Amino acid sequence: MSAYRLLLLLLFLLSLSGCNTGYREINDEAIVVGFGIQKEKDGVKITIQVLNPAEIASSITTNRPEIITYSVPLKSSESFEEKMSEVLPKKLLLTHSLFYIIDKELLMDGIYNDLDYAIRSNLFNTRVKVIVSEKQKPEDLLKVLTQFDRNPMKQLSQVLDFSSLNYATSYDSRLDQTLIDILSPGIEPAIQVIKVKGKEKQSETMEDLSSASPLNTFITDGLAILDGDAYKFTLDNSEIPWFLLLKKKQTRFQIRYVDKKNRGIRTHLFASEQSIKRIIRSEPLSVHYNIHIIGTLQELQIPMDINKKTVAYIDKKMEQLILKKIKTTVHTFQKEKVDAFGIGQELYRHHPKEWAKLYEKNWNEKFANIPFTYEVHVDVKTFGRVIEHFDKNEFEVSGD
Amino acid sequence: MLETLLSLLKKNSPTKDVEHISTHVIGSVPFSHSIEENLSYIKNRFASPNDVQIRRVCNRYNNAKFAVVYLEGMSDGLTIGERMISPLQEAIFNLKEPLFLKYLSSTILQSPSPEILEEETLLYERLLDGYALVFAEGHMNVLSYDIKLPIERSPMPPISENVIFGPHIGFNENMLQNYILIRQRLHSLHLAAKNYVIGNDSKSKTRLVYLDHLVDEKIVQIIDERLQLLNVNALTSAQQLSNLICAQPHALFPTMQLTERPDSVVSALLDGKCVIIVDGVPQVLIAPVTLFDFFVSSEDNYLPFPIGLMLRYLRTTCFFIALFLPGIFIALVAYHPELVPLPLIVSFAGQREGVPFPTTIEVLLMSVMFDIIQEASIRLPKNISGAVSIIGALVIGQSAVEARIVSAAVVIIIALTGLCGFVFQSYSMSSPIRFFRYVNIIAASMLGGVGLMSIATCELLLLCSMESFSKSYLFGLTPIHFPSLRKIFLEFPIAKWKKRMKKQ
Repeated sequence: MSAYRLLLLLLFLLSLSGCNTGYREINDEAIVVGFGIQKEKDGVKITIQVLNPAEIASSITTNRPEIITYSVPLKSSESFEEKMSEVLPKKLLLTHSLFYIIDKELLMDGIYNDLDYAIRSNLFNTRVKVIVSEKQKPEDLLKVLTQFDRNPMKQLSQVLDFSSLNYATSYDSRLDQTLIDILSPGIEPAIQVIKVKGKEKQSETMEDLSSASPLNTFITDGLAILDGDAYKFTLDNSEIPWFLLLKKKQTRFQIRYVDKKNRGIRTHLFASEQSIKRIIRSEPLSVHYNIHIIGTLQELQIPMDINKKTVAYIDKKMEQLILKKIKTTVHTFQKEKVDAFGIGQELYRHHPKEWAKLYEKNWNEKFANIPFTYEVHVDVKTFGRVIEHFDKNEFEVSGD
Repeated sequence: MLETLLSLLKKNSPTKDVEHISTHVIGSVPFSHSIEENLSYIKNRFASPNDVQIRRVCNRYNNAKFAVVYLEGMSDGLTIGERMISPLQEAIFNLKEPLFLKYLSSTILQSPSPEILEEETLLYERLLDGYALVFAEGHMNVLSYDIKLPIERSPMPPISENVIFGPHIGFNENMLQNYILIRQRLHSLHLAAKNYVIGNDSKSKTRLVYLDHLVDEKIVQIIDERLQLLNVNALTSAQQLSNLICAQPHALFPTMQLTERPDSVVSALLDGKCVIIVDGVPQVLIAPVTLFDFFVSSEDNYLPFPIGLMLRYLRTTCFFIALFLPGIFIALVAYHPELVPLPLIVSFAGQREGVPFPTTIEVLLMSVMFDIIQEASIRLPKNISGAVSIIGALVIGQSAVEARIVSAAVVIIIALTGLCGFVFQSYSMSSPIRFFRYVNIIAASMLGGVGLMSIATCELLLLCSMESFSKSYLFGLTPIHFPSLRKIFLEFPIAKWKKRMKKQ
């Protein structure tokens, strides 16, 4: 009996297949890996980078390019998919897009509507990386070919992942988080800025890739800090670790202390989300950071043996350096009157009534005047294989 | 369901019990005192009278006449000559004694099972069994001797269930030998057996074996009832018997386990299961079974327990891969490419470049090709099947991809699926998996993930509704019974050993 029921169900499924429009062949889809949006005279221009799967996946390569870019100018009333269908013979598959690249000019005007469309239309994966192109237009950025990976966007994505994870030299800005930060009160979004170093025009053709040294490389170029949905200022690359610490994000970074004789101590440090504590008091408004950092010693040019005293010295120097950097970063943000650390957001969550009453209206002004206090503990735990320094004129640890 | 089946069986068969089937009275015509009359009567009862061999013997001292009757090829002619004809010729006796036949059987013709037959039907049964009959002039009764010519092979390694470790002996076609193979491994007074004769024409001997202190009496009763109620003309295979006595003849998953291995049978008996041996069939049936029993191989017990457990998990995984992988592939590639990571989707798309068929057709084509090769290599003699595999590998693996008929990913997926279907010790699980794989492929190609999920739900319902001799097919899950699940998926011998040590 069950077999008959199963058969009946199959027949039922067969009858349903008539109204099925979901079936599509993967070859009939254009796999988009990069999406760029830039400002034009009347409207915007959209550029997409499409993969040529046969070239990327097959072992035998031909002379056909591995990536193809298509651009369409768009007036505000026109739909991007509709317009793109005039150029591209395939259906767009934007879910695998790795980057959503925004032009700085467009960022100046505000990007909420564009990001909203990207999420609302279900075209994009919500975790797509959002970056800003400052020196070049997104269109030019998407035309750059890379030597290391056949898919340039993948290479860029890997570069950002690696650098943000290990050295905090870039920031992992995603579409969903950016939009949430734009919409949430008391926090402003930050977007990674990328530029192309070299003569970007030269690496558009395959021949240019035969050179041993890359003609063009993507490099990170600071963080674009937004106020609302519009560009406010650019934070320098070197300040990203401190920005992340203040934002309570897990961070790995390297710092180097240099003494008066130009001898350095370099450490690779790590702070987890749990080891960064932020205490916000409402009345009067004050913020206190308690940061505990552990790390390894990587470079020791000052002649010293490793013992209790010297370790304490190294820890202290690192603490002083970090404190100085953090203070500078906070000062930058307070000067620009932008709270990208999420202090307002935390205040709103813990003291909603006071937030509504006292701070909501002019939070940026209030933020600029918050007194910050810090407590930084550095604990360098591993020191490498050499305990005794070869230089016998040992450095005396003084009390400072 | 069971009741309807039983009522159907009852309708079709006049109510007979086992004893009736085995003695099957046609008529009890008394034999004549004349040998010649008896012989011609018997000969005429056979549709092929030439099969009946008659050897007439005359005693050299008193000219007493005897006739030895047997079926050509069924009895051992040489032994008849040595052990029956010569003693009858040489012995000194008095034929006219009233208890002569008894005297004959106890002194002159010594054999393990002499029997004096008085009924005609029994006579034919004995003849057809390979017995030799002795007629004596002036006596109405007949003596029967078991001088069967055995047509059998000695126990060989099982063909369909190979293991690396463990015993390499399999059942053969002789029921008694098979029973002895079990008996040799279970020196227990509790080993119980019930005999049946099934088939109006074939009269196949069948034996139900169980350990009476471990078995569930209810299950023995059910199997006993069903075996007694069977009314078929001939029984030729264990699979046929399994289909005849299971409550759901349309059940697609096997409700009885077929095995050729005595050690599997012994462990099943120790688990409180029943075993049915059919004469002339090298496979033995085990009942009741659950789905999880098919994930167990007898080899697991011969390996260190973590490895045995790992292999069971592997087989369980393979069960799902074999059922769903092609379906999942179609659903992902044709309906939900968003769910596939970028490098993989690019690879799929790159491989499909230039392939003229839609993904569904591609997968179906490969599955059918694989099944054809499999069927062909099973049926062919061993020497040629190797060649078929090579052709298959070349045609499917290489040429089809090179000719851009199918993509390489599909070949890999079908090959993996095919392999996963054969990891079970029992081959009977492979066929339903193959069947449902096609069902899943069709469902996935029609409605993608939704279709696959709905058909998987139906399959789960089907499994839940199945029963093997009143035991739920998913026993352990429905109804939940952790000890039986633990026995298969989490058996730690150390814990058992500790328990035993404590008891001591």
